[in-house]
Amino acid sequence: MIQHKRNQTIIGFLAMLAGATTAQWWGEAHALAAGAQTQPKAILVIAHPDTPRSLANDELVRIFLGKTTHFSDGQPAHPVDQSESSETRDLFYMKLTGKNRSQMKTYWSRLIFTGKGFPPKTLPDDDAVIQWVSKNPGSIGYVRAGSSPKGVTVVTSLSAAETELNSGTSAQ
Amino acid sequence: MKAAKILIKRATRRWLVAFFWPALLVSCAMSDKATAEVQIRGFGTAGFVKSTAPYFLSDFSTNAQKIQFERDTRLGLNLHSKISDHWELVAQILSRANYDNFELDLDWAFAAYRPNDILTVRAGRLINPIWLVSEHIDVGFTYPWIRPPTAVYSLNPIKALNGASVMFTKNLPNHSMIRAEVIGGAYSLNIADGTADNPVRYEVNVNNSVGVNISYDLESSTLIRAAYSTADTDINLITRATIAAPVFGHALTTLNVGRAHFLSIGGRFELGDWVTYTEFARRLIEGSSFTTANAAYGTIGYTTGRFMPHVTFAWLGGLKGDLNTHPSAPAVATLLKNQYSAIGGVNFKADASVLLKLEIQRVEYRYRETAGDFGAWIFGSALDFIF
Repeated sequence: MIQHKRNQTIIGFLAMLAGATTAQWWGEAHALAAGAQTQPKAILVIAHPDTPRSLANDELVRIFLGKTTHFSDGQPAHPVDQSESSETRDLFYMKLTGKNRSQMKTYWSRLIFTGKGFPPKTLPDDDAVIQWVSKNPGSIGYVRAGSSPKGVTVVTSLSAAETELNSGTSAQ
Repeated sequence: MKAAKILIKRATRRWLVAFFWPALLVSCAMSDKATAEVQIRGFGTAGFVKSTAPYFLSDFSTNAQKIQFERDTRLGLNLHSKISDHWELVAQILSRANYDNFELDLDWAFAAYRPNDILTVRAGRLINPIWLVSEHIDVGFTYPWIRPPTAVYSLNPIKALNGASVMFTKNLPNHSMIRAEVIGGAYSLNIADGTADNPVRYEVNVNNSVGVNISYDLESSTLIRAAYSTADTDINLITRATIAAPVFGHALTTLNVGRAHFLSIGGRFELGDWVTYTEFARRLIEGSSFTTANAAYGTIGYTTGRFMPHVTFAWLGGLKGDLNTHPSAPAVATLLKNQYSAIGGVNFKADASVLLKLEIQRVEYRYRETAGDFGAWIFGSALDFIF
């Protein structure tokens, strides 16, 4: 009886694992197939008008890697990310930290599942990021160049030409 | 009496699971600030292991001569609620195999207060940060092995502490940082093991635990870490009179372990496509038949495309102590003297969130007296994922 119950539990558990994994694969493949985003040429880092007008690269890295919660002037910083399948996001982190999508996942997993840090809030696309950042003091995000951000401050820009997007290999 | 104690602990655990999560959600729903948010994330492993010996490694009494799915399979859910700029609530539940079922447990849950980037104070059930990957030991996606080298990680099974910690962080140039943490608390771990026909239950109690760890994070890629902790420890065997299999590297007969000290120093180095892990650990227990133990391992892996082959060499030994005179430990004459293991594996990154691992391991045991030498092969595979 116990053996039967255990087998049922294991089968149910494995089915759940398989379901979750398949759903995740399907979701990412679907997003790519739908051509949700194409590889951007450059990235603009935007912030709420109340935030500092310029940021050092090191400060930007700290904010988006969860190592600081404040700007250098002491104001709380609230970074926002784009969706995980976004090419804009891949380019942003590759340029900023030298880490690809997979490496960023591992980085955050070591923090999330120890309770020591949590990634920025995720928004679906450029428009959502611009809208959010323009309305929330302390917010900072990134969008593709050419997406005409209004109501925000462009803090800096990151060029795609200086880096290479490749989520399958290490870039460190 | 012991059965009643177990029932009370189980009820407490269920209450914690049932109460804490709704409390987190309500705390988020009550706040309408832009900074308030809740994140739910998860991780899991589906794996199997097979060994040529009834018991493998200096691990709990897992019989893996038949292909066993329970040993490495687990599923975890993490919930984080940022209540304000300074306050956070975090909880993680974990479901993993017991000898007759998959038990749901509150892995850890705490409130954190961070007034600035330097100071963090946490209180609740905290992860016990004894070894290099202790804090995310259930998240297989975050390290190269199917399970961290048990030569080191079996020296202390206590993952959590009910208590508090104070953490100091100093940011350095090039997004590097140095962090120091002082943690204290107590914990009682109820371990169910063995098989359905031959169940084994025992509890490990840790009291007056105090620890400190210091880590240096270089450009978010290299981590160097040293830790020390000490605690009063005892073990209560709830079912079965004796356990033949090794527990913490020893046959389990002792009840009062004594004051234990744990020391470790190690690091993770990611240099281009190369990754290395190395760690040395030492366990010292005062006035007990559980003897001093030293352990170490070194791992090197190389990433090529989606694949990462890796090798690990691990050692457990240096056991010293008055083995035959302790009245409560007549069986410890067969104590393990040295254990050597070599692990070879290949990891395949199927996706940014999914990692498939294949592993083969050879373990050689050298016993102190009558048992003689012994060796075993261990084969395993695991699918690690996060979501």
